[in-house]
Amino acid sequence: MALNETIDQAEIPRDAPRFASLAVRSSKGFARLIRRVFELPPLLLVGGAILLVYVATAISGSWWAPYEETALGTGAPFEGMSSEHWFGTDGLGRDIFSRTVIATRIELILAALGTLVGFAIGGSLGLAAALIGGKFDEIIMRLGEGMISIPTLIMAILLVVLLGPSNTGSTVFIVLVIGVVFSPIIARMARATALELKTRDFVAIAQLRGETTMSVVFRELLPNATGTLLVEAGVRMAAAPLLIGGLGFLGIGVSPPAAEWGTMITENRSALLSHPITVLGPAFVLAGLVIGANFFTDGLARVLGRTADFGGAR
Amino acid sequence: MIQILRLIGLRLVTGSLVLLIVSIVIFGAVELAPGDPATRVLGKEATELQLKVWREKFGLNRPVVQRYFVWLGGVFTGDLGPMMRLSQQPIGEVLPGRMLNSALLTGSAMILYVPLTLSVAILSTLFRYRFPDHALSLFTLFMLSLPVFVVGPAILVLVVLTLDLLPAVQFLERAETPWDYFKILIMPASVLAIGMSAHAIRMLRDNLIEVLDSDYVQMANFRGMPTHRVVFFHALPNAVLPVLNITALEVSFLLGGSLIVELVFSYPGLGRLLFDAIALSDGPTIEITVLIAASAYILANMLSDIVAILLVPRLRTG
Repeated sequence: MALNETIDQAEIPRDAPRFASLAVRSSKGFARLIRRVFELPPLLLVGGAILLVYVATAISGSWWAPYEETALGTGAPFEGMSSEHWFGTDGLGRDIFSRTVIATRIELILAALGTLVGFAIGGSLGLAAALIGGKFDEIIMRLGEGMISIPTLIMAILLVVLLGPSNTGSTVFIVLVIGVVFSPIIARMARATALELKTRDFVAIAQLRGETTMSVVFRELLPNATGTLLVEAGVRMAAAPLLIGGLGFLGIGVSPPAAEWGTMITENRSALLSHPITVLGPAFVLAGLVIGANFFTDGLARVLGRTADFGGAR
Repeated sequence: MIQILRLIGLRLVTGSLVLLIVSIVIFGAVELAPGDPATRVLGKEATELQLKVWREKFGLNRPVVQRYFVWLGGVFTGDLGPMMRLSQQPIGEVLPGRMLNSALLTGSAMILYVPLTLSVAILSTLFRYRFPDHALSLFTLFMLSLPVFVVGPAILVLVVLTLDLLPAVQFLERAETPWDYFKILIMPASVLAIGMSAHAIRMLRDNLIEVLDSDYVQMANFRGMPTHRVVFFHALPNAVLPVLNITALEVSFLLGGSLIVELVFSYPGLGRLLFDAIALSDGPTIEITVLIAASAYILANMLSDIVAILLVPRLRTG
């Protein structure tokens, strides 16, 4: 018995026994389901709970926020924290707490759509590069390398300049910026994953069976890349609010008077030292979302036996 | 030796090629942007003649490809023409001061970043899989989630308002003693260093633990070597390579982050210059500042690769 234990500990990775039960699926009993859920890594649960709060706020926020998003003069300009204005008011007397709550929806939508566009562009290019290979692969990857060597935020600025000031601030524009900025990183990941999977026997067998390339991609490669893709999607979703907020902070994000956390941080910066809450309120709400998303992704990566690299696009 | 030189030469060539591509991307993006810069700067009331003279002055009447090569030449000679603002100050005169300020800021951040990363990562490794390691890893994940424009104002409020350690407004131009410089640089540099470290610590910890679990380190343990000797003399030298790579990657964060940090702390560096240039749609200034940022990143990566080639014999073959 003692011998068995030592062998077990030596051979099974530290986290493995905890999640081993996940593999054994049982449909019996609600209590067991609950127990299963709490066997998941705490990071996943905490992150998931935080994300749920944000999603709930995004859906319902506009109903219960104390004031309208653009209601002017709900108080004097630049008021501090009070029971009426939890985060104070901005220079136009708008209630910052209401604006912060209402902004949740646009942040989440932009982050999700931006990530989706990034996967559509980057995923298909990376996959194509891996499958076609040769010159095409070379060109795509060199271009991607060039794009990656421009820091994310500066790349976004460049796109803002390229697409022109008249488009700046529209939802489509910001989604596109996030998508394009993320695409080379996703392309690199997709290419590496596809190249790795391509060498596996089941792909060769599928090709021998006479499956078309499309079929190989959708029935052999994609299902086997699900874990990697999920973790990468989580990392990107967590990084997107940073980018949206960063653009807003630089004054080229969601166009005013619509509420956006980064924009609000900039708008109220002059009141930072007199009424810190006007800046720190939206700032910490933004940070909370990223923390929740990062915790969730890290937990997810552990369950799937992968590591999440959060540094790629900050 | 010839092999080493050949590899370094190869790396220099590929680095320059990437830089060339980047310069085309940057110039193309700015020059092909919709809208006419002349009307943008001079306003709708400008006469046809004014616009024509203005375009002539900035060489906008020539084809894009020709302008690119003129610009590329200007990058090397420092003659980049005037800014597209009403003051029309030559860019070549404004840049050196701003670059120096930015170098001062990023350099200070680097000085804080190295010991911070090393000490926390080693601490985490020494207590690996135990409580301090878990706590530190949770903390770094937490810090990783905080953008610069959140940490910056928070530190500013903490240091200036709550602790009352530093004045709210300081001017770099009036700084004389090293102490003055320290007082100005410490806050923005810390914000950048913390952001860089949060990511680097996690990667270095994973690397160190991987090395510590390797056979030769296990062997040193079995021989009865004390833990600190194992970590410092066996594990760390073998983790230098990843540290180099990680640091080169963090430079990307450093450059993007300094743009925002300079705004938060009103620091007169390249980031502020770029920010003002965007607000005024000042094409030439945007081009050169973005190019400098991208070059810094590419150079950092090239440098880390070259140092790696010199340090690690394994990389010299093939």
